[in-house]
Amino acid sequence: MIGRGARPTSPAVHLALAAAVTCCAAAGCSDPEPRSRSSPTVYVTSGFDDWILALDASTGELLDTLHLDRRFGEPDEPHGVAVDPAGRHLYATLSHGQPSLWKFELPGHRLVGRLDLDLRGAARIRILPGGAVGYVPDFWRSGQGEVSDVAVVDLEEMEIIHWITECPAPHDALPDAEGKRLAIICPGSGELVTLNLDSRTQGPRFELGGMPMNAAWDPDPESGTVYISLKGVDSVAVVHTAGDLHAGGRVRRVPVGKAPTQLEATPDGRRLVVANRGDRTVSVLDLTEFELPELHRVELPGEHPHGVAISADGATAYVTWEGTTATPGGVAAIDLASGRILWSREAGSYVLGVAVTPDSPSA
Amino acid sequence: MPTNSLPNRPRPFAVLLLAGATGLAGCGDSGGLAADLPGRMEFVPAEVALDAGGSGRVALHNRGGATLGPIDFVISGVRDAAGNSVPGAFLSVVPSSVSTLNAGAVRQLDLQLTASNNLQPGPYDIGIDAVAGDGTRTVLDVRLDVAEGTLAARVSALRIVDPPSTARQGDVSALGVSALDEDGAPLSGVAVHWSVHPAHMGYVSSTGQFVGFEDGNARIVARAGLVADSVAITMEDRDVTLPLDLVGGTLREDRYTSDLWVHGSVAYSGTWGVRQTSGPPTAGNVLNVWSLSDPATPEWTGSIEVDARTVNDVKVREDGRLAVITHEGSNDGLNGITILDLADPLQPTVIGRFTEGLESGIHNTWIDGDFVYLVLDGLGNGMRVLSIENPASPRVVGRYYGGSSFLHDIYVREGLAFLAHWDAGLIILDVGHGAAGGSPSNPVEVSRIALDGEVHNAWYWPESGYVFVGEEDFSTPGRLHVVDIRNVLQPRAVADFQVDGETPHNFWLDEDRGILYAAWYTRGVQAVDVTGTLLGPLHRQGRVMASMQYGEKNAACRAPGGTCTWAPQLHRGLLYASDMNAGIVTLQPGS
Repeated sequence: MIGRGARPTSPAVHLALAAAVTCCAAAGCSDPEPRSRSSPTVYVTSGFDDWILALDASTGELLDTLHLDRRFGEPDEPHGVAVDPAGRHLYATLSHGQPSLWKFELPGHRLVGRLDLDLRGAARIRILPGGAVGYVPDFWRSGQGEVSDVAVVDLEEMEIIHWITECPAPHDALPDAEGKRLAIICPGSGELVTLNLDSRTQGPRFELGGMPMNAAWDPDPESGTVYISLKGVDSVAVVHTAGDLHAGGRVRRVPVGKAPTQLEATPDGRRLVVANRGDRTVSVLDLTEFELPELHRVELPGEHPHGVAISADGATAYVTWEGTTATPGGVAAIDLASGRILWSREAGSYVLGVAVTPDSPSA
Repeated sequence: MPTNSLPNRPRPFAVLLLAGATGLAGCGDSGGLAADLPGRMEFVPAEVALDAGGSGRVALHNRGGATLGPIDFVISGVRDAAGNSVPGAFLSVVPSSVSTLNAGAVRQLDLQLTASNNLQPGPYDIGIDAVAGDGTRTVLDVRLDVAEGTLAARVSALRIVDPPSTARQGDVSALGVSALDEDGAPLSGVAVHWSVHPAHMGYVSSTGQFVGFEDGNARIVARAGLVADSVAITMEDRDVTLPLDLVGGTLREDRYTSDLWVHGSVAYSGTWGVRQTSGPPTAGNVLNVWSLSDPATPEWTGSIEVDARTVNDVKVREDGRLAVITHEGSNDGLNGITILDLADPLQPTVIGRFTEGLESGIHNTWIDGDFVYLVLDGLGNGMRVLSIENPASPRVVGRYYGGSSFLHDIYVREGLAFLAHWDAGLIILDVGHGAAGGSPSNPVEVSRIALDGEVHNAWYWPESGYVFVGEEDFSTPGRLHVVDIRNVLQPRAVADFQVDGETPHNFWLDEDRGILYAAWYTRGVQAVDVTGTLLGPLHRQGRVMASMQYGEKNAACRAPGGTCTWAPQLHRGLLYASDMNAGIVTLQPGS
């Protein structure tokens, strides 16, 4: 499919985004020395237990439980979770009741912020490389085609600095590795919308169909390639966003398991890990080959794989499964070289998001 | 605001300002504060006097070296000089919370006091406890002095007119005064300062409405300027008690129990969240059905499993022919509702599941004839009204969103819909009443009252003109508010009821006897005498008829054996109450 081409955006958009990117580039915003830790920590959200579990990435041992039970007696549904690139803070979204973004200090898990979001349903939290700005899309499931927003959040001040309004029910809004492009995934319209954060212009839009859900940029920023799970057609779309927008042939589909949802590429750009919600499996694809052959198809211990995070060294993927209304959810650590499950454990009900601290296991 | 628009979007010029501010704030230093010091909050000034309009401003500083947040404000009731909470008076803070406060940062807070009734002259105090996410806290004292009116200085004689000599605890006496100027001419519109001595004996409003708290002798003083009059009133014990005996119940511990509805000889109960039992955790994915052939001891006869992790609510239509149950956390992400055919009440069958536009989840529901009112989860979604004229093919015919907050619950009666709209307050809609020309397909807002947030549920008693409103707040904790809507265009908060250390849940009113049964989580069932005029703190007026905590004392709400009452329903002389731990408990109210 050919994108619809660039559209101008308002000066206000440009300035807001530019300020964010500039700030990220400044030394004052980032910690020059990531903290040391004996082992990375994996965080998983349980949407119906209103908690985040902190687990030892090497063993799955429970280290801590962070309660996000804002309304006792009401499910608050922790959903997305992310660690900033420097490993200083953990962020999580609550998507039920009053949607909000929570901020915890690392290490120690001290709660230091909570931003109420004027969203119908906060989905994932994605962070610019410098760690200063986050994007939270309004996955408005009841919107019936009405457009909803992406909240742009100043993570230092915990303030919303801008709204991006492009499409119905965006589920993911992901900046690329250099913070130059933003991919907005729109299940409600079947689109990929891109914004050029550096030039402050709107990028191409792609009509993908197939109910796109999540995105993973290729780690090589020069490629301009983004991988998108297409839940409705059991495949991953490979979209080349750079270059001539009207040349055609910029979108192709690669089959994976049933109803793929989250996906992540390894930092070296060699592997793509896809959670196949519909058949309790994980696909590990080879990004070094044009056809993206499937190297492993890993079966998880539970139903409805959902979240994917990858260790800083690219060796291990952490994949959650939601569970069902009758079975618990959990998380598994997968050795990407062998496709072997290193450990797995239950983590609550409706287990969704997952993140891992940037520490290397060998650090 | 009957729209689906969300509030508080920055305007373009605001975006410019915020973007600039962000650049500075995100990249700036912390003003030389030592980063290894903990955060420390401080109000400046430490005490605030509100202006005559009830407004004020204060700054919240972080004087420490570490970030603090989120900062929530726990606000005490507005108290008069005698220490009595003033009904209908609330202080609000804007912003209502601070998302984060970095080291060295400052936030300006605006304070505003609102009152359903005029405050009488005198001093008032309010406390604000700022609590950060890590437990750091600081306190602000807020004071308001209401001055006497200019007419007060002209009063040369004041007399309390026809006061009663005795009154029953909790009954409201309307006191009036006669004020004369130095020429002996009557003065009208004089602001009288009323007080009760000793202060713990009662409360008197600016309009001379007096209610006594304890039996014994009280003296009521009316003062205007330098002139005063007083009367003695002997308070008599209210002497209202209600035997409330535990006569049966269930022990259903595989899942947490949620809402309850009883119809005929059958009870239906929902299930909630995830319960960790001896086996695998179980989710709230079933509706349980109970036979009441032995009314005291519900007998489980079966359940219906649905695609949900919480079946929060169940309602049976008045004719008993169908029921609606709600879905949240479904596997397929579609949620919605399931409509049940109750042709055989003990063997409900599924007519169908309706999900279109209800994918965010349904938390509560109300059935009124051929219309089903639905609470759609999430900010910005609000209410949907379904026509179930053909239950197999329902369709959305109406919608409403009140802004500011998510909607939590709905109660419909006599053409009025009462929306428990959390921080937006209690919102009253015309859905056929006639007050505003509304209908189920075109709900029209009649009025609203903010109360002090976390508005959770409501029960309207037309005969009295009162709405009983639950505030589910686990921090302050929440209380029951009584809202007078005899003028439905101007609802007024007139009374409240609270239980130390716990927040209320759902209510049921025995309108024949004027007894309110309130589920109060760990504190079980509270039976409150709500007869007569209601004013002030009902919990201090001898109106508690029974307090039934049937589980283990001091057990947590969702601990095995603990009391965790969710919803009561009076039916055929028995009070059934759903309990999150046990299922259903059966209580026998005496006469």
